[in-house]
Amino acid sequence: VTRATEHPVLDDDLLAALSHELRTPVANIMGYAELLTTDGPDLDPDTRRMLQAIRRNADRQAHVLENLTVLADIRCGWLPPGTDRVDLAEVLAALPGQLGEALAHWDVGLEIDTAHAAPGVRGDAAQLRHALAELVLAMAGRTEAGGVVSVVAEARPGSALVTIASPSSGPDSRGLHGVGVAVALAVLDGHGGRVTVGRGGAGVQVELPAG
Amino acid sequence: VTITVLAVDDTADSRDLLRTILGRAGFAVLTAATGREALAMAGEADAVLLDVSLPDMSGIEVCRLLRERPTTAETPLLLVSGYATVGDVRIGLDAGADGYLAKPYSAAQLVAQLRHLLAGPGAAAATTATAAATASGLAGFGGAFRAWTRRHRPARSA
Repeated sequence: VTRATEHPVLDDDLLAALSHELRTPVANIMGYAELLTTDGPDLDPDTRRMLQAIRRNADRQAHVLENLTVLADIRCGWLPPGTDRVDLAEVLAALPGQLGEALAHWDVGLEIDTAHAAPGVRGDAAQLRHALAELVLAMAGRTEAGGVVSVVAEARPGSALVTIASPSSGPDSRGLHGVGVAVALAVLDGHGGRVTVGRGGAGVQVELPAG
Repeated sequence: VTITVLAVDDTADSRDLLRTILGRAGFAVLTAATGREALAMAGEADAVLLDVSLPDMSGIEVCRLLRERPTTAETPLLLVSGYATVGDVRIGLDAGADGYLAKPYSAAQLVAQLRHLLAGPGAAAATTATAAATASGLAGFGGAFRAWTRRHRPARSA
């Protein structure tokens, strides 16, 4: 079982400062690239391709910054987990739309099986969607091109289990890592969840109290 | 009638970006690099985009001072800042800002939020996304964009 709170990467002030200091330069890179890309059909294909690469990479940086900020928000208690009844099948059904572009870029497929999902859990749907998306992204990031990440939701006595696995992922002795994973662990920890990270294709299991 | 927007940011590249985005969207643009300049020019603007990190005083302080003045008390004011935690946003909205847009932002989003603030209470449909975001505190979760809108102001005649 991995608990995010046992592995503080940075203290809250440094986290917030890092996020703040990087946001302005990333904003300018994204903004100018967006303006240039929307200049229209006058761009030659090479320039367009390079601008799209700049935008795609700036978007990734922005995504990391967002995760740093969310982590700071969670640690400071500004993002309580909430008590809504959340339909996990619905949360998981949103993943393809949310992650489609990133997965397509990596040429990784996504299979979701919610046929035996638990009826519901308690918490904040947006936070849970984000946490599970980050775990899928982390798994996809170590999956070979052409591979598939599978997400299987199952009901267990008193709990809801979600297994995210990738049979074609390479062995990685470090397990899952990164800012997105840290956010996922912090969110799931706040929701009373347990996260078990296996090696290689064994994947990651998320267990949340049924509610 | 052309709407004039004052864009306040201490970084030259950021000011130029705002000037370009707003100019392309059909706004007349004034720019300021300091809090003092912003206070001197705000009376000429129909709306203010205000950075929080300024060299001479905080944008939060500029916001409070603008709200105390009769001439700018009702001017639509959007904080555009690299400070992005929920706590930062609360401070900004408590100081009297109408909205808060965290950097990095998309040009389309900036213009949409500015137009929404200028439109006033009639633009309820446009608030759905930001209202939902405010409720969870997670604007654009996963999409990298954070935007909040506090309240509606009367529609501007321009």
